[in-house]
Amino acid sequence: MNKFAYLVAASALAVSAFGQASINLNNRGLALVNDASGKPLTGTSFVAQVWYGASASSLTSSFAPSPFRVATTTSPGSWNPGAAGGPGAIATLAGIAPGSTVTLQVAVWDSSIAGVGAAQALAKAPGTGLSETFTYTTSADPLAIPGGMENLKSFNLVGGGTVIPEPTTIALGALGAAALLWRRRK
Amino acid sequence: MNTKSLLLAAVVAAVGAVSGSAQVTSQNIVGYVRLSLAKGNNLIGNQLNNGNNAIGTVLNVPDGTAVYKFTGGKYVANSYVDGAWDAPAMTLPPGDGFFINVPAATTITLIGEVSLSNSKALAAGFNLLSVPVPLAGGLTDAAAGGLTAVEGDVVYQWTGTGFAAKEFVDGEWAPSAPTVKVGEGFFLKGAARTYTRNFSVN
Repeated sequence: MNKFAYLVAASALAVSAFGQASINLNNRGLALVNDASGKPLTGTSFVAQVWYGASASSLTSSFAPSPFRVATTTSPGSWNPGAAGGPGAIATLAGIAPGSTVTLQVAVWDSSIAGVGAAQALAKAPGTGLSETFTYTTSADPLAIPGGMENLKSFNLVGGGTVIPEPTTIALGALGAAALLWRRRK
Repeated sequence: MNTKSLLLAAVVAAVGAVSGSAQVTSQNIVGYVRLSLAKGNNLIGNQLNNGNNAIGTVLNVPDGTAVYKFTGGKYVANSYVDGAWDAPAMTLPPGDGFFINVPAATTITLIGEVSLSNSKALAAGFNLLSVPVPLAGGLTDAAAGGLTAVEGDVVYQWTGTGFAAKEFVDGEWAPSAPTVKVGEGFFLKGAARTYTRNFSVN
């Protein structure tokens, strides 16, 4: 490497050393999320949330959930981080230095069902989805376009039921049953 | 990125308006730039002003295309999926460079007016730029790029797989002075200043 090349490399590294790593949260064109039957997932009520940390045992940080695309999309099975309310297609990995490796996991659930969220997805409740953990080595080059989801493996939502009743629904049902019993006794 | 066909048509329209005894003449130079894009990443710039320069009015691209701008030291992405841009408010004004990732080789045509007066504030560090007018040649030549080089400037040009760097040291470019093609984008790393590139028709 000549003197000039060293200069260029050193200046690039000096800039990256001060920042935090970036990640591209798009999975379009990469691994897909499928429903329980294996069909690529669509519908904007479904959301994907990317969790990350330095290792698989420390996935404590996450980005805002990204909605999946409409039913008529040409990219089924992919979520849209650039949608309103989403984290943006390229996001900053807080606490992760450029050039280091981050461990990731994707949780998916139906946001239209009250009481169902990341906790249920992380617990692999029916109707939700959870990817295997995977890694992404961030770039130390400030000019490199970030990647992120290249090592994600396709996964399906958990079968065996799609709706987890919310507590208020259960309470309403119990009230109804009690009213029925009371009426019968009368 | 190959520039297959450059400024193919430039129409100079002189519009005269008589006001009292004085005649005021304005010049409008309209035309188009056609760019051949390779599958994957291409580093280009829009060099014609089409009015609002919203991404949806500047680019006519296939589904699955992604655009990456570089703002505040990091990339901002925008995808064209299902016939719409995820962030339709993004603008691509003359002078901004951007990566465009296309799912297959394609040709795009950029249409608009040559902007006669261009002034862009450069941040210290990395800036993703293009020459704001559709001219090819030396980046720091007054007749082409018109950029005033400052000691320590580094220009990064996309090779298709990575960057080639040229640095301005001791008043000279090393290893050689950067030249740009019509429609080409590039990174400039340097001190904060203003890049002015005006254009006139004589």
